[in-house]
Amino acid sequence: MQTTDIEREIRSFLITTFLFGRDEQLRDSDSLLGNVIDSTGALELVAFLQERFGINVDDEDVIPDNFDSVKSVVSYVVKKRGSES
Amino acid sequence: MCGIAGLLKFDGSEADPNLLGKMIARLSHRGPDAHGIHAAGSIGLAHSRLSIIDLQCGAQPMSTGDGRLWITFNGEIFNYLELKEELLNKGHHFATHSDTEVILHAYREYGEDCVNQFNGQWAFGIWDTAARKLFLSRDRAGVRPLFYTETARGFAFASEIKALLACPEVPREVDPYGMDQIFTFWVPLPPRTAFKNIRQLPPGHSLTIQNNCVRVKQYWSMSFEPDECLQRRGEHELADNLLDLLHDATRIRLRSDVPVGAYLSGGIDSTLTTALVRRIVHDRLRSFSITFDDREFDESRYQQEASSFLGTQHSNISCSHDDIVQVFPEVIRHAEQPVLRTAPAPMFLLSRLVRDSGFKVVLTGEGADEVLGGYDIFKEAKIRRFWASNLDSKWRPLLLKRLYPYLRELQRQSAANLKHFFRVSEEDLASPFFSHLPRWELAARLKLLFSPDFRREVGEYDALAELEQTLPPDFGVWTYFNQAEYLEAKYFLPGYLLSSQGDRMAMAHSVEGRYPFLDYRVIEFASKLPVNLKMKVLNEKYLLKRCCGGLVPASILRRRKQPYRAPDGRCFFDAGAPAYVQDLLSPRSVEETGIFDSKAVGAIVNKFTAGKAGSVRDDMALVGVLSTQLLATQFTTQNREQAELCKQQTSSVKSGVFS
Repeated sequence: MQTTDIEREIRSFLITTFLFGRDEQLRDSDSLLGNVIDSTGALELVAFLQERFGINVDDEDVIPDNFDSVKSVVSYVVKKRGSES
Repeated sequence: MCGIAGLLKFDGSEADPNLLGKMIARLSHRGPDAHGIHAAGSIGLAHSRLSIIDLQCGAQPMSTGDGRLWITFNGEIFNYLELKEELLNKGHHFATHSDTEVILHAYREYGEDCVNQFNGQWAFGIWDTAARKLFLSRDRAGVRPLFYTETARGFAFASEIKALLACPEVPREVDPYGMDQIFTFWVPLPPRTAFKNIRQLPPGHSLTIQNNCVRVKQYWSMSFEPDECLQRRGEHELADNLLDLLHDATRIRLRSDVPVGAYLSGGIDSTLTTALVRRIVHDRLRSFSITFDDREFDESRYQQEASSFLGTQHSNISCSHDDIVQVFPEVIRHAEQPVLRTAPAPMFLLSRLVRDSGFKVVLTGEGADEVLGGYDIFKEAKIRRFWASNLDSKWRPLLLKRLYPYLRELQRQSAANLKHFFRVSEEDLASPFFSHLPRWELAARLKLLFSPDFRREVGEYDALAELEQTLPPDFGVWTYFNQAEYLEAKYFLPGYLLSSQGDRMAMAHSVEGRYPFLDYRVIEFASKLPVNLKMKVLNEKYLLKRCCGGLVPASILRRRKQPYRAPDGRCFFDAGAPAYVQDLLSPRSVEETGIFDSKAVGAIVNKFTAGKAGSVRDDMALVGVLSTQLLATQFTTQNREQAELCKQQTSSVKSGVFS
């Protein structure tokens, strides 16, 4: 799977799950935590990443470094897929 | 308890008795025992009565013997016997034993300031024939509702919005700013409502109209000035003071010519008020509660313990997902505003049980959490500030996880993530709304569901800025804890708990709730207490618990506080859910109403249908959309076809499903 495909799927998930389909609300410059993903939503994202991309997200990985922007989530997934394959 | 309505014409025409009849007929659930209308020239008053005090002679609208003052009154003045004594000493003569007549004489004696002498829960309108003045008043805490509207031709008021909508010139439109507020604070900020041009008299306010000029005045508000005398007393003495006050607040709330029952939720507050009733009344007391098929929400074990301990004759009603879905249209018709939770629905079922058991009056524990420091949101704010003072602490954020053990999503979060969600930045700390920011932010996200047209109507409106302007001047000098209590007691309590979940659900079945914790003497005493006696470290309602020895079972005192909640969004997607759910959430219906974006609603529906919904956000979105759709179809001029369908389904519910 290409990085662009991963990014497209993650964006689509964020838009559907947290923004009620409002794609213009997902801006690359915005911090995801608190703005897009609310307190009840981070685990939904984790569950999605595990299920869709076959990776295992450890508790200690659920930190802003990995989850605060679309780019950082994509990099995290790419890195995990590389290390777990 | 009753329903009230009135008209005052500005254009020289006469108040139409037929219209008053139509208005009051829409409130017959509030007062099924009798109706009355008084129309004389430009003024008309109407009343539907639930007879509780002076069953023979308390008919309304009532006038003074000389015909100068006329009143239509909903509620109770609990200290009417003491007031009557004073008025008798001042030479007043009474023709009835009712509290209604006491209001008339108190008004004659003290004028508009009479309300300062009342201890009770009221909404009333007095017409002074000689001064040609209309005087409206609503109780301090906002227990009883009072709405009004002004048109070019006159002024109208009523206990519920549906009576005002009987007036042909009143628009039937949703208010975009009111909606913006509800989808932020969960409640509209008084005087606004969910409807354009329909206002509510804020709690603790009076309104006068004379010479076509409307004047609104606040006569009471919560305040938190430290009291040196009280601060010097020890804990033990303060606990005794509080218990004495609660005892007296309960005693006067038992004044009634019909039997009084009690709600038992399984928590401390209602157990204590019921215990106080038991100390005063020696007859066997009837108690009532809701149980849930869904164990996550059920508190029946503690309700049974409280009932056995207090020796009450207990009845409960079991509430299933299906029950909630079946009654939801009726619930919204009574609530008259969108809700973000289904929690009012079980309260609707409970009041029906009370009525079917032959009771008209119940005492409940409502208000204790607001005035004596019980809510998790107070604890949450305290922890957030504590954490913010040392953001590098490893263990401080763990307190937030311990606060919400039932929020599974929270348990796996890192401290760094929690910082984002629980708003502990410098900017957040400086906000007057620090305590409520996480809650309001979560609700405000639902505004993403609004349609582009509706968003344009809302425009740049900023609900938080409006709220900030209404804060009292001394808000800034209160303790953080008191600030949070104020926001909760001033807005959420009257705007949701006492209305959507309180008065409206009880009065749907002609049941009157009475609240000892909302006796203004209790509120004023509590507001002077040192905050560390309300919440000692993280022990909520600390002083209240000290009052409970021997009155509340130890198991209930020790149990972890469980917020009252009911099953939410998923109820509406169980197999066999009535057709109104899918109909109102369909793109056609959503587009016809115009408030929400049909694609966004579709995304939520798909999530529930696929079994992938489950977060608090999804639940609030679904319930918020569905309740708004119900409101729009039942009350506004849009979507007539849907309204008809809903009506048919609701009447089938009434005629048998639950009998």
